[in-house]
Amino acid sequence: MKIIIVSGFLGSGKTTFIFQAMNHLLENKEKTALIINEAGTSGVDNVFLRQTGANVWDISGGCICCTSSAGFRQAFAEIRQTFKPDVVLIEPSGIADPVELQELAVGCLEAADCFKTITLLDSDRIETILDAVHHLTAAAVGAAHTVMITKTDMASPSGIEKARDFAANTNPGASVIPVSLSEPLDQATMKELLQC
Amino acid sequence: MLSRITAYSDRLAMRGAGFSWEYVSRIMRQLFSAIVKDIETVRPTFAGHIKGICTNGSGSYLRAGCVSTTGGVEVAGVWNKESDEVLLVLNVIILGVPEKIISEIVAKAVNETGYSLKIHITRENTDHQGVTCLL
Repeated sequence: MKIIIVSGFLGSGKTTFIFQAMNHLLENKEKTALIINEAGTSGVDNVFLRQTGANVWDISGGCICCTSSAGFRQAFAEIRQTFKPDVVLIEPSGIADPVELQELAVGCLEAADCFKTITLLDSDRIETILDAVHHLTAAAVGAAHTVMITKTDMASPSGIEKARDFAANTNPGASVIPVSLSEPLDQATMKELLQC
Repeated sequence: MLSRITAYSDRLAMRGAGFSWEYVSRIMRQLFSAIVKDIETVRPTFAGHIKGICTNGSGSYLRAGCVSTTGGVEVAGVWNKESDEVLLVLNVIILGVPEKIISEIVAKAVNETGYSLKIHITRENTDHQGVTCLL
Protein backbone atom coordinates (compact mmCIF):
# COMPACT_ATOMS: atom_id res chain seq x y z
CA MET A 1 0.00 0.00 0.00
CA LYS A 2 1.19 3.48 -0.85
CA ILE A 3 0.63 6.13 1.82
CA ILE A 4 1.06 9.79 0.87
CA ILE A 5 0.69 12.76 3.19
CA VAL A 6 -0.16 16.02 1.41
CA SER A 7 0.72 18.80 3.84
CA GLY A 8 0.98 22.57 3.59
CA PHE A 9 -0.25 25.70 5.29
CA LEU A 10 -3.86 26.92 5.05
CA GLY A 11 -4.77 27.82 1.49
CA SER A 12 -1.63 26.40 -0.13
CA GLY A 13 -3.61 24.26 -2.61
CA LYS A 14 -3.82 20.87 -0.86
CA THR A 15 -7.45 20.16 -1.77
CA THR A 16 -6.97 21.30 -5.37
CA PHE A 17 -3.96 19.01 -5.73
CA ILE A 18 -5.78 16.08 -4.10
CA PHE A 19 -8.75 16.58 -6.43
CA GLN A 20 -6.38 16.30 -9.41
CA ALA A 21 -4.51 13.36 -7.86
CA MET A 22 -7.79 11.49 -7.23
CA ASN A 23 -8.77 11.91 -10.89
CA HIS A 24 -5.34 10.67 -12.01
CA LEU A 25 -5.51 7.63 -9.71
CA LEU A 26 -9.06 6.87 -10.82
CA GLU A 27 -8.02 6.97 -14.48
CA ASN A 28 -5.17 4.59 -13.69
CA LYS A 29 -7.55 2.27 -11.80
CA GLU A 30 -5.74 2.62 -8.50
CA LYS A 31 -8.12 2.08 -5.61
CA THR A 32 -7.71 5.11 -3.39
CA ALA A 33 -8.80 6.09 0.11
CA LEU A 34 -8.64 9.64 1.34
CA ILE A 35 -8.33 10.70 4.97
CA ILE A 36 -9.24 14.34 5.46
CA ASN A 37 -8.67 16.30 8.61
CA GLU A 38 -10.13 19.78 8.82
CA ALA A 39 -9.76 22.23 11.67
CA GLY A 40 -13.37 23.44 11.45
CA THR A 41 -16.11 21.38 13.08
CA SER A 42 -18.21 21.55 9.91
CA GLY A 43 -15.89 20.37 7.16
CA VAL A 44 -15.88 21.81 3.65
CA ASP A 45 -13.29 19.79 1.75
CA ASN A 46 -14.70 16.39 2.68
CA VAL A 47 -18.08 17.45 1.24
CA PHE A 48 -16.38 18.74 -1.92
CA LEU A 49 -14.26 15.64 -2.49
CA ARG A 50 -17.15 13.28 -1.69
CA GLN A 51 -19.18 15.02 -4.39
CA THR A 52 -16.45 14.10 -6.85
CA GLY A 53 -16.83 10.40 -5.98
CA ALA A 54 -13.82 10.01 -3.68
CA ASN A 55 -13.82 7.45 -0.86
CA VAL A 56 -13.41 9.81 2.07
CA TRP A 57 -12.76 9.20 5.74
CA ASP A 58 -13.44 12.48 7.50
CA ILE A 59 -11.83 13.50 10.78
CA SER A 60 -12.99 17.07 11.35
CA GLY A 61 -13.00 19.37 14.34
CA GLY A 62 -9.50 18.76 15.65
CA CYS A 63 -5.98 18.09 14.54
CA ILE A 64 -4.90 14.54 13.66
CA CYS A 65 -1.42 15.29 14.90
CA CYS A 66 -2.68 15.70 18.46
CA THR A 67 -6.35 15.87 19.61
CA SER A 68 -7.68 13.58 16.86
CA SER A 69 -4.77 11.13 16.58
CA ALA A 70 -6.90 8.25 17.90
CA GLY A 71 -9.48 8.99 15.21
CA PHE A 72 -6.73 8.82 12.60
CA ARG A 73 -5.44 5.44 13.82
CA GLN A 74 -8.98 4.06 13.85
CA ALA A 75 -9.73 5.32 10.33
CA PHE A 76 -6.42 4.00 9.02
CA ALA A 77 -6.99 0.54 10.52
CA GLU A 78 -10.50 0.42 9.06
CA ILE A 79 -9.20 1.42 5.62
CA ARG A 80 -6.47 -1.24 5.68
CA GLN A 81 -8.72 -4.04 6.92
CA THR A 82 -11.95 -3.41 5.06
CA PHE A 83 -11.32 -1.13 2.05
CA LYS A 84 -7.87 -2.48 1.11
CA PRO A 85 -6.80 0.33 -1.22
CA ASP A 86 -3.70 0.66 -3.39
CA VAL A 87 -3.18 4.24 -2.25
CA VAL A 88 -4.07 6.20 0.90
CA LEU A 89 -3.91 9.97 0.56
CA ILE A 90 -3.87 11.95 3.80
CA GLU A 91 -4.83 15.62 3.86
CA PRO A 92 -4.10 17.07 7.31
CA SER A 93 -5.42 20.45 8.36
CA GLY A 94 -3.21 23.35 7.35
CA ILE A 95 -2.10 23.82 10.94
CA ALA A 96 -1.09 20.23 11.70
CA ASP A 97 2.36 19.64 13.17
CA PRO A 98 4.11 17.84 10.30
CA VAL A 99 6.62 15.99 12.46
CA GLU A 100 3.97 14.61 14.84
CA LEU A 101 1.83 13.67 11.85
CA GLN A 102 4.66 11.86 10.10
CA GLU A 103 5.45 9.90 13.27
CA LEU A 104 1.78 8.99 13.56
CA ALA A 105 1.60 7.75 9.98
CA VAL A 106 4.91 5.87 10.17
CA GLY A 107 3.57 4.12 13.28
CA CYS A 108 0.75 2.68 11.13
CA LEU A 109 3.02 1.31 8.38
CA GLU A 110 3.59 -2.35 7.55
CA ALA A 111 6.72 -3.75 5.92
CA ALA A 112 5.33 -3.78 2.37
CA ASP A 113 4.02 -0.21 2.53
CA CYS A 114 5.73 2.73 0.90
CA PHE A 115 5.43 6.16 2.35
CA LYS A 116 5.87 9.71 1.13
CA THR A 117 5.25 13.25 2.31
CA ILE A 118 4.52 16.02 -0.20
CA THR A 119 4.57 19.54 1.21
CA LEU A 120 2.97 22.42 -0.67
CA LEU A 121 4.57 25.85 -0.38
CA ASP A 122 2.54 28.85 -1.61
CA SER A 123 4.94 31.03 -3.63
CA ASP A 124 2.37 33.82 -3.97
CA ARG A 125 2.19 34.34 -0.18
CA ILE A 126 5.68 33.19 0.74
CA GLU A 127 6.60 36.42 2.57
CA THR A 128 3.42 36.41 4.67
CA ILE A 129 3.70 32.71 5.47
CA LEU A 130 7.34 32.84 6.50
CA ASP A 131 6.63 35.92 8.57
CA ALA A 132 3.58 34.46 10.34
CA VAL A 133 4.33 30.74 10.59
CA HIS A 134 8.02 30.25 9.95
CA HIS A 135 8.49 27.43 12.44
CA LEU A 136 5.56 25.40 11.10
CA THR A 137 6.59 25.96 7.48
CA ALA A 138 10.20 24.97 8.15
CA ALA A 139 9.03 21.81 9.91
CA ALA A 140 6.67 20.94 7.04
CA VAL A 141 9.34 21.48 4.39
CA GLY A 142 11.88 19.65 6.53
CA ALA A 143 9.62 16.60 6.74
CA ALA A 144 8.95 16.48 2.98
CA HIS A 145 10.24 14.04 0.40
CA THR A 146 8.93 16.41 -2.27
CA VAL A 147 8.20 20.13 -2.01
CA MET A 148 5.64 21.49 -4.46
CA ILE A 149 6.04 25.22 -5.01
CA THR A 150 2.43 26.19 -5.79
CA LYS A 151 0.68 29.18 -7.39
CA THR A 152 3.55 29.91 -9.77
CA ASP A 153 0.99 31.43 -12.16
CA MET A 154 0.09 34.08 -9.56
CA ALA A 155 3.44 34.66 -7.83
CA SER A 156 6.17 37.12 -8.77
CA PRO A 157 9.50 35.69 -9.99
CA SER A 158 11.06 36.78 -6.68
CA GLY A 159 8.33 34.94 -4.74
CA ILE A 160 9.02 31.74 -6.64
CA GLU A 161 12.76 32.19 -6.14
CA LYS A 162 12.30 32.81 -2.41
CA ALA A 163 10.17 29.67 -2.05
CA ARG A 164 12.74 27.62 -3.99
CA ASP A 165 15.60 28.95 -1.85
CA PHE A 166 13.69 28.28 1.35
CA ALA A 167 12.95 24.70 0.28
CA ALA A 168 16.53 24.06 -0.88
CA ASN A 169 18.10 25.51 2.27
CA THR A 170 15.67 23.88 4.69
CA ASN A 171 15.64 20.44 3.11
CA PRO A 172 18.43 19.92 0.55
CA GLY A 173 17.44 16.27 0.12
CA ALA A 174 13.90 16.95 -1.05
CA SER A 175 12.96 17.23 -4.69
CA VAL A 176 11.43 20.60 -5.53
CA ILE A 177 8.71 20.88 -8.17
CA PRO A 178 7.21 24.27 -9.10
CA VAL A 179 3.62 24.02 -10.32
CA SER A 180 0.48 25.95 -11.04
CA LEU A 181 -2.65 24.04 -10.06
CA SER A 182 -4.94 26.36 -12.04
CA GLU A 183 -4.93 23.70 -14.76
CA PRO A 184 -4.62 19.95 -14.18
CA LEU A 185 -1.02 18.78 -13.88
CA ASP A 186 0.31 16.78 -16.81
CA GLN A 187 0.43 12.99 -16.47
CA ALA A 188 4.23 12.81 -16.15
CA THR A 189 4.40 15.37 -13.32
CA MET A 190 1.52 13.74 -11.46
CA LYS A 191 3.10 10.31 -11.85
CA GLU A 192 6.38 11.63 -10.48
CA LEU A 193 4.63 13.28 -7.54
CA LEU A 194 2.71 10.15 -6.60
CA GLN A 195 5.70 7.86 -6.88
CA CYS A 196 7.21 6.63 -3.60
CA MET B 1 6.37 30.24 19.25
CA LEU B 2 2.87 29.52 20.52
CA SER B 3 0.14 31.14 18.45
CA ARG B 4 -3.60 30.99 18.52
CA ILE B 5 -5.48 29.82 15.47
CA THR B 6 -9.22 30.24 15.37
CA ALA B 7 -11.23 27.63 13.50
CA TYR B 8 -14.68 29.09 12.95
CA SER B 9 -17.56 27.23 11.27
CA ASP B 10 -20.95 28.52 10.24
CA ARG B 11 -23.89 26.97 8.39
CA LEU B 12 -25.95 29.42 6.39
CA ALA B 13 -29.30 28.65 4.80
CA MET B 14 -30.10 30.89 1.83
CA ARG B 15 -33.57 31.26 0.43
CA GLY B 16 -34.58 33.18 -2.66
CA ALA B 17 -35.53 32.61 -6.25
CA GLY B 18 -33.54 30.67 -8.80
CA PHE B 19 -30.10 29.98 -7.35
CA SER B 20 -28.06 29.34 -10.48
CA TRP B 21 -24.30 28.75 -10.85
CA GLU B 22 -23.76 32.42 -11.67
CA TYR B 23 -25.88 33.60 -8.78
CA VAL B 24 -24.34 31.30 -6.18
CA SER B 25 -20.85 32.20 -7.43
CA ARG B 26 -21.70 35.88 -7.09
CA ILE B 27 -23.02 35.42 -3.55
CA MET B 28 -19.94 33.51 -2.46
CA ARG B 29 -17.55 35.97 -4.09
CA GLN B 30 -19.30 38.91 -2.44
CA LEU B 31 -19.56 37.25 0.96
CA PHE B 32 -15.97 36.03 1.04
CA SER B 33 -14.56 39.32 -0.24
CA ALA B 34 -16.43 41.21 2.49
CA ILE B 35 -15.14 38.84 5.19
CA VAL B 36 -11.51 38.91 4.08
CA LYS B 37 -11.58 42.69 3.65
CA ASP B 38 -12.79 43.22 7.22
CA ILE B 39 -10.36 40.66 8.60
CA GLU B 40 -7.50 42.47 6.88
CA THR B 41 -8.52 45.69 8.61
CA VAL B 42 -8.17 43.89 11.95
CA ARG B 43 -5.04 41.98 10.99
CA PRO B 44 -3.34 43.32 7.86
CA THR B 45 -1.12 40.26 7.53
CA PHE B 46 -3.81 37.73 6.79
CA ALA B 47 -2.51 34.23 7.53
CA GLY B 48 -5.35 31.82 7.08
CA HIS B 49 -8.04 30.53 4.78
CA ILE B 50 -11.70 31.27 4.20
CA LYS B 51 -13.46 28.42 2.46
CA GLY B 52 -16.97 27.21 1.98
CA ILE B 53 -19.19 24.87 0.04
CA CYS B 54 -22.71 25.50 -1.23
CA THR B 55 -25.02 22.55 -1.89
CA ASN B 56 -28.67 22.37 -2.95
CA GLY B 57 -29.49 18.79 -1.97
CA SER B 58 -29.81 17.72 -5.60
CA GLY B 59 -26.18 16.94 -6.35
CA SER B 60 -25.06 20.50 -7.08
CA TYR B 61 -22.05 21.83 -5.24
CA LEU B 62 -19.85 24.88 -5.45
CA ARG B 63 -16.68 25.29 -3.42
CA ALA B 64 -15.07 28.68 -2.86
CA GLY B 65 -11.81 29.65 -1.21
CA CYS B 66 -9.99 32.88 -0.45
CA VAL B 67 -6.64 33.70 1.17
CA SER B 68 -6.34 37.47 0.64
CA THR B 69 -8.10 40.49 -0.85
CA THR B 70 -5.61 40.59 -3.71
CA GLY B 71 -5.85 36.91 -4.64
CA GLY B 72 -9.61 36.99 -5.24
CA VAL B 73 -12.11 34.20 -4.58
CA GLU B 74 -11.58 30.87 -6.35
CA VAL B 75 -14.75 29.01 -7.22
CA ALA B 76 -15.14 25.43 -8.49
CA GLY B 77 -17.87 22.84 -8.70
CA VAL B 78 -20.91 21.60 -10.58
CA TRP B 79 -24.35 23.19 -10.48
CA ASN B 80 -26.98 21.09 -12.24
CA LYS B 81 -30.11 23.18 -11.95
CA GLU B 82 -31.56 26.25 -10.32
CA SER B 83 -33.04 25.86 -6.83
CA ASP B 84 -34.79 28.09 -4.31
CA GLU B 85 -32.78 27.08 -1.28
CA VAL B 86 -29.10 26.34 -0.74
CA LEU B 87 -26.92 25.56 2.25
CA LEU B 88 -23.51 27.12 2.69
CA VAL B 89 -20.98 25.60 5.08
CA LEU B 90 -18.44 28.28 5.85
CA ASN B 91 -15.04 27.86 7.52
CA VAL B 92 -12.80 30.73 8.59
CA ILE B 93 -9.45 29.47 9.89
CA ILE B 94 -7.08 32.24 10.78
CA LEU B 95 -4.09 33.10 12.88
CA GLY B 96 -4.42 35.67 15.65
CA VAL B 97 -8.01 36.91 15.29
CA PRO B 98 -10.35 36.06 18.19
CA GLU B 99 -13.55 34.07 17.65
CA LYS B 100 -15.79 36.95 18.74
CA ILE B 101 -14.37 39.30 16.11
CA ILE B 102 -14.67 36.71 13.33
CA SER B 103 -18.26 36.07 14.34
CA GLU B 104 -19.06 39.79 14.16
CA ILE B 105 -17.34 40.13 10.79
CA VAL B 106 -19.25 37.15 9.37
CA ALA B 107 -22.56 38.50 10.70
CA LYS B 108 -21.90 41.88 9.07
CA ALA B 109 -20.90 40.31 5.75
CA VAL B 110 -23.97 38.05 5.79
CA ASN B 111 -26.29 41.01 6.42
CA GLU B 112 -24.69 43.16 3.71
CA THR B 113 -24.69 40.35 1.15
CA GLY B 114 -28.29 39.38 1.89
CA TYR B 115 -29.42 43.00 1.66
CA SER B 116 -27.60 43.88 -1.54
CA LEU B 117 -28.49 40.66 -3.37
CA LYS B 118 -32.03 40.49 -1.93
CA ILE B 119 -31.78 37.01 -0.48
CA HIS B 120 -32.76 35.71 2.92
CA ILE B 121 -29.78 34.27 4.77
CA THR B 122 -30.16 32.50 8.11
CA ARG B 123 -27.22 31.53 10.29
CA GLU B 124 -28.21 28.06 11.46
CA ASN B 125 -25.33 26.63 13.39
CA THR B 126 -22.34 28.65 14.44
CA ASP B 127 -19.44 26.90 16.04
CA HIS B 128 -15.91 27.99 16.71
CA GLN B 129 -12.88 26.94 18.61
CA GLY B 130 -9.54 28.44 19.35
CA VAL B 131 -6.58 26.14 18.93
CA THR B 132 -3.21 27.00 20.39
CA CYS B 133 -0.52 25.70 18.11
CA LEU B 134 3.24 25.59 18.00
CA LEU B 135 3.73 27.70 14.92
